[in-house]
Amino acid sequence: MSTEPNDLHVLTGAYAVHALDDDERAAFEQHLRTCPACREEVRGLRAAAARLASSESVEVSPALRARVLAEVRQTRQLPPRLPEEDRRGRAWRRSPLAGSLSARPLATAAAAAAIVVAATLGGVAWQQHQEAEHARDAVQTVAEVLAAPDVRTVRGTSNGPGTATAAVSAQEDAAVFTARDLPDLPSGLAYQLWVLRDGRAVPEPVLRLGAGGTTVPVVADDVRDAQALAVTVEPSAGSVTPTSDPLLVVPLA
Amino acid sequence: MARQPSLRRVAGGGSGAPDGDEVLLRRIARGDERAFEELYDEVAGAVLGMVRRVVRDPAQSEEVTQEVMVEVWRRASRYDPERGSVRTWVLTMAHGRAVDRVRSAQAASGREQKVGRREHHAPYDEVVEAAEDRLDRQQVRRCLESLTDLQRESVRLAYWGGYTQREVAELLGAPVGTVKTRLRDGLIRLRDCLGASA
Repeated sequence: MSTEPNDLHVLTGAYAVHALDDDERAAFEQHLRTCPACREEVRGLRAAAARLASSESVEVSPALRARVLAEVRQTRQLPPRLPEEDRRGRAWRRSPLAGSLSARPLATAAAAAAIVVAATLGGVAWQQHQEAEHARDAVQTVAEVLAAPDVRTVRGTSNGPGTATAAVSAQEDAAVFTARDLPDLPSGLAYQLWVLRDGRAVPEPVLRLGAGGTTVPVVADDVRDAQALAVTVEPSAGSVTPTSDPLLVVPLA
Repeated sequence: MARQPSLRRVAGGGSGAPDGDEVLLRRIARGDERAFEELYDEVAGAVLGMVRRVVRDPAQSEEVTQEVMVEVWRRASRYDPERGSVRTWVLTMAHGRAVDRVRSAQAASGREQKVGRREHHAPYDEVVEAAEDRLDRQQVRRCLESLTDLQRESVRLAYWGGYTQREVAELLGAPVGTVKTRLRDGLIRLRDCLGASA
């Protein structure tokens, strides 16, 4: 079930109060990229919703304040996002030993991974992917995760066809997931990604299959305490809990 | 000893000159922990109050509040004034996290769990009102009255109940398309009323 493009404008209110399902949200964020009127409206409606929140203000305990400040002291901040033109080259330039890429094996691996991702998506798709990521709020982009100094690659195990890989960064608290050689599914079904944490499967978006059975890379956030990423087959709109056994598992712990 | 929240009030951003909060956030982005403490004292009460009403469980509410404020610290450099005021940025992030927490708890405890389990009654009795927010509260309440009953109900279920638009439709016995429209129209009315009396 899909919403016609001209129906998407009506979703501004629901989007502003987080009332969209994952696939609806993905479609709407894609729409936002090309609709300045909707972006402006979302801006105003979010401000109105934030006033609802303000009306419920409470006193905060000193204990909570102390805990937050203690955690902040131990938490690294994200670097600023560079202007569009500089961003694609970032994986290559981002090295404390500027100009000597070979002295930092991790930076080289990140650069190599970024090339693979870009090649998977193709030129135009990469641009659209970047812009769609930029239009979203508070989510890591593929490039940011790949460029993190602590990024590591983890290969998955599979119960059948297909292989999965994740590029994981504890610092960014995110993982870029890709799978390849996945067979096409009958219509009505799709591959869905899950983050397995504390015995629960947290739903991530449904994966889109590109050329050659390779999925469009997606970023999973909040992976720091997770045990694994997994892929199951679900109805094409996605599920809230898995309805089948995992086909692919990438261990994170 | 808790510090008094600052009386500085952000009108909603976008009026040209950078307001106090934007300056604070720029300092925070450079690693200024004192600036973070100031912003914390300004917004944490609103974050916690809102999260408590959505998540309900006091311990989890504090956890989510902590997550949100640490994310404000982490992502300070990513704040974009084009998208709205600092306060809106923080509270939008907070609402998103609160809703995520409620939904993943729902998913984990089983699909059979009734949609109606989450709170959708009148305000939480134990909310302690900070003095300088009383006027704000009155203004919001008054503006909510400018919505139709159906618009107000849809907004309440979506915002405070953390329900998806489909769940709201289910609860109200209305088509999803109608709920989409009511959420949009209701929030537009709220925006216009608050903007007019800001």
